[in-house]
Amino acid sequence: MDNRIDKRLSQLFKQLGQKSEAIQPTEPRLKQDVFNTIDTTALIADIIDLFTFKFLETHATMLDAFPENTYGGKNKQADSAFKYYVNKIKDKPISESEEDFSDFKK
Amino acid sequence: MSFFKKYKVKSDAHLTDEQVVARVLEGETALLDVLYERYSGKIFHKCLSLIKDREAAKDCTHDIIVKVFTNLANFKGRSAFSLWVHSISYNYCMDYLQKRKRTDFSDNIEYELDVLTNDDSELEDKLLHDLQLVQLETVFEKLNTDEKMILMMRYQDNMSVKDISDSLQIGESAVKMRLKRSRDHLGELIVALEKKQNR
Repeated sequence: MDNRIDKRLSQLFKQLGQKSEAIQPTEPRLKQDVFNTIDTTALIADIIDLFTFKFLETHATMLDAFPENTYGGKNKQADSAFKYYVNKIKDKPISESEEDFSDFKK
Repeated sequence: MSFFKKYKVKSDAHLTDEQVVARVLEGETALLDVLYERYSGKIFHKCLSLIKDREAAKDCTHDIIVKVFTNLANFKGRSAFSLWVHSISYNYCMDYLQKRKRTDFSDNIEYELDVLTNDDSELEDKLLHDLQLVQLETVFEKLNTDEKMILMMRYQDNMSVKDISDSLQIGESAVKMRLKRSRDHLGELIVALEKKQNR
């Protein structure tokens, strides 16, 4: 196919697109709908985050606040296992968590 | 207040799409408005051209834009942002049309016209070269959906054969074949239009 024909087709298709966009613009209502959907999606993501990661993070912070283990040393295994998984979720380096987990593995 | 109005937008007209995307991902979500203004018209036009139903095209445009905005983190910048958006748009429209079973996406394009003679082929080349916008508008509507799509990808969006191949997930030779068929069909339709006008 002749390159000139390709160029001509390219010009015309671009003009066709521009003309169509000018004649039939998108409705303002569509923009509102799109951003409402995005807002709702963001809200749902926040809620899910709140009840999963943030929930565990809060627990972890609470645990850190205690000077002794949560179970007062009576159930050290459960305590270290819980901390290990929380740290993993919080993307802390595994080495930090492994120390705690070593108690759990014994 | 809307989630996307929380951030103040600085001057953004000079920003490339890729820069806008990077800033949105850094938290300036108000810049989504810039992307919307740049692409909504193009996406709507594509949907309308392929689906031919204004309401359905509007719904598809909505879904495509939401899909693009919620997947911005997946844009790796390996190709231009516009190509990424166009690929999503075409694939969405194709899926939509396949679901509606309004179109046949097989390789067999049924030609409405008789096989061209050699004389007609020369005429077709000449007419394609001298093609005017009005003529293209007339014959464009007579093309099949897959022909429209591949011609728009190539000539309207400047997608290379490889880009089209990646987007449609077909081989490059298949893309070349489809492009050739589609251009041939376009040429035939123009010849037929010219003959009709000269009668």
